[in-house]
Amino acid sequence: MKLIITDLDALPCKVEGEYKLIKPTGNIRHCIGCFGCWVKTPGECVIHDGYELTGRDISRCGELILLSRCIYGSLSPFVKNVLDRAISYIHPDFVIRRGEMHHKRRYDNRLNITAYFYGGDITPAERSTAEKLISANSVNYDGTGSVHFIDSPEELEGITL
Amino acid sequence: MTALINGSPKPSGSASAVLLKILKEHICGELLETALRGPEPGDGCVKALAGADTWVFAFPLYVDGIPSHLLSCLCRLQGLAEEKHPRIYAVANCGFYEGEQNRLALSVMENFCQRAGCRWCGGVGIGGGGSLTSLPRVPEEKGPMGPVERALRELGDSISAGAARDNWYVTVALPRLMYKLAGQMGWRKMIRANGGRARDLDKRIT
Repeated sequence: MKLIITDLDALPCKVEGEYKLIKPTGNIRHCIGCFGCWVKTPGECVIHDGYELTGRDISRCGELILLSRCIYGSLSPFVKNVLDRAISYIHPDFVIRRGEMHHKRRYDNRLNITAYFYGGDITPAERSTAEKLISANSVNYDGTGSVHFIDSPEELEGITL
Repeated sequence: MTALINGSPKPSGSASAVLLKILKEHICGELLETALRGPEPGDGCVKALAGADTWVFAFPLYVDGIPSHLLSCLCRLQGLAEEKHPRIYAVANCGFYEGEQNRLALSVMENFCQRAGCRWCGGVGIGGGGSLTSLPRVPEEKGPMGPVERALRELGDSISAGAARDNWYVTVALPRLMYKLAGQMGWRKMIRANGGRARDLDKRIT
């Protein structure tokens, strides 16, 4: 299954096969750093606003597709919020991976992250940060990742994810 | 005027608060303290920042970057930064051992400065954040907090002088294995305190 997280109200393109779409609904709350998703209700965020099971959703997918405006080289606040709220996808315990400390896997699925950053005026520095961020996310999730930059979401019209 | 901005969403007990408390001891001149705990900066915070020529952000690392609520606040503060051109510094901390893992969060802050046309004056990335609220402070920058205390003194000196420097990274003076094991014991203690069992940490939602 594919999991698509976007800050757009609607996808500008088609998707092949089974997928779940997470998009803004206006009521997402932000992570409060309580670690409840690790030590109170493991695997599930304690904030019940419709986004509490994204960690589980990530565990069910092979491909995580992020379609986001590029903000200062980061994912946009909404897409970042969804990922911040989904740290239950990983386990609180630490492992050493590529010489650095990271979190242990909770699930067995191997993620391939594909990020599409859109924005007509992304600077070279922002581009570099965004590329490194997705690479770092891939290491943290113990998966793989790739990054694409487009001027606007309309550029995806006609392609199939 | 220097504004110290706590960017942790936690109302109390955050590592960012501990770091700002130490940093405050090393800054000369007028200080004000404010916080960004939600996705919108309150009127009080905006007013405080409007009157400061130096903004110092302290925040935790979330998923390799800055927390989403802080990112949202930066978007809303960009106009004020464009107008006031403050000097901007940051202190990022992460639960991982290596302070270098904060590098991309500091890059995001630097990119914000570039967008807003204000001056990025450097940041420090601190590793071992999970221990910062419990480690004792030892005089003369000794003990496990020593490297952190030193880094914050150096940052305070830069802020007081209005000087810029490259980002740099430190971690607590504990062996990595000890930090890792202490963290794992901590999670087990916390889940038991919540009425769970250690093996519940491994739970999978299907």
